[in-house]
Amino acid sequence: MLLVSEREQLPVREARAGKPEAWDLLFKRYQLPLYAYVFELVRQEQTSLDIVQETFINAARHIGGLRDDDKFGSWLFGIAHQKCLQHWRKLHPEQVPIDPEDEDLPELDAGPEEMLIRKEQEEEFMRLLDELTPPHRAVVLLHFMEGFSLEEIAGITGTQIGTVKSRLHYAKKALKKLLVNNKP
Amino acid sequence: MKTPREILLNRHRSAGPKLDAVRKTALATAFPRAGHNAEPTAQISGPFALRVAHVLWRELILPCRGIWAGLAAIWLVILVLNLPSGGKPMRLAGSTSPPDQQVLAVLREQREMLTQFSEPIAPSPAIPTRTPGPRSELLQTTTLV
Repeated sequence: MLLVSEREQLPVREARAGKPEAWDLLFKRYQLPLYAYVFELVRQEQTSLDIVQETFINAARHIGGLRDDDKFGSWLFGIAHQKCLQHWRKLHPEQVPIDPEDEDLPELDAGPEEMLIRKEQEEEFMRLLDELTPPHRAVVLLHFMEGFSLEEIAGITGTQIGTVKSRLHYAKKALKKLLVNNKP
Repeated sequence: MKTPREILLNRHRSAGPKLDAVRKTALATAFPRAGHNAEPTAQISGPFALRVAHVLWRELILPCRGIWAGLAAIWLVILVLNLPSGGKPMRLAGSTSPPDQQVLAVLREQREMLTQFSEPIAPSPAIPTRTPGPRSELLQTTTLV
């Protein structure tokens, strides 16, 4: 029986062989984080569900395009990200998601697991996330939800590593400010 | 204390049942014969022509089904618009006005000229050649002058 316990033990090889139960496990593993990511970008429940479903179907059909089995997660998020962009372009054909500043800044040390938020800060955290521009939000979500590396986030969003670094720096700085200001 | 991941996932946990349905739909679409230990759609077996047709359908038709439907609708409209004419080409010659009398006269004149030119040219009457008379007669004429 196939089990999903850690990221490294995902049944990607079995999925490549076309085993539906392997795909079921992979989808189960990613359905919630993928939905959370898509929803935070498009902000529509039905559209988000549609995008998740299309992402799953595309992944099952084009698994041959995945070069490294260990990169399955970032590959899947990459498909979903492209679908979010397509949706965005459909809604705003003449607009491009705003991207204010892309400075080359040093990365802040705190990893996705090191940042802890108290219950009373949760609403503030979500509000802060909402205030970020979509490109910044995408980077923060990918970092905090799946702990993707800078290279992986750059691959998913189709941007330079320097850009990802600066976006993450900007967002983490804002989050740190929140946590410091709300210290008891 | 929670990590940002926990906060984000908890926020969307209520979508769980809907996501389960989405997962099942995706599996059923990607693996139509999953209940019979099927192969993925990307590795469909069968004759070569069937596989090619399947790939074409999946890669060419399905992703742009809206465009194909639009094209089909346009062709339908064209067909419907074409129906009243019975599919026959319109007779343009019948609808033109009768030619002008002057034009007809000029044409007739030109035709006559053409006929004249094309007729074989009658040989002109030959000029009677005078056969010289006897030499003695010629000499007499000279002496008289």
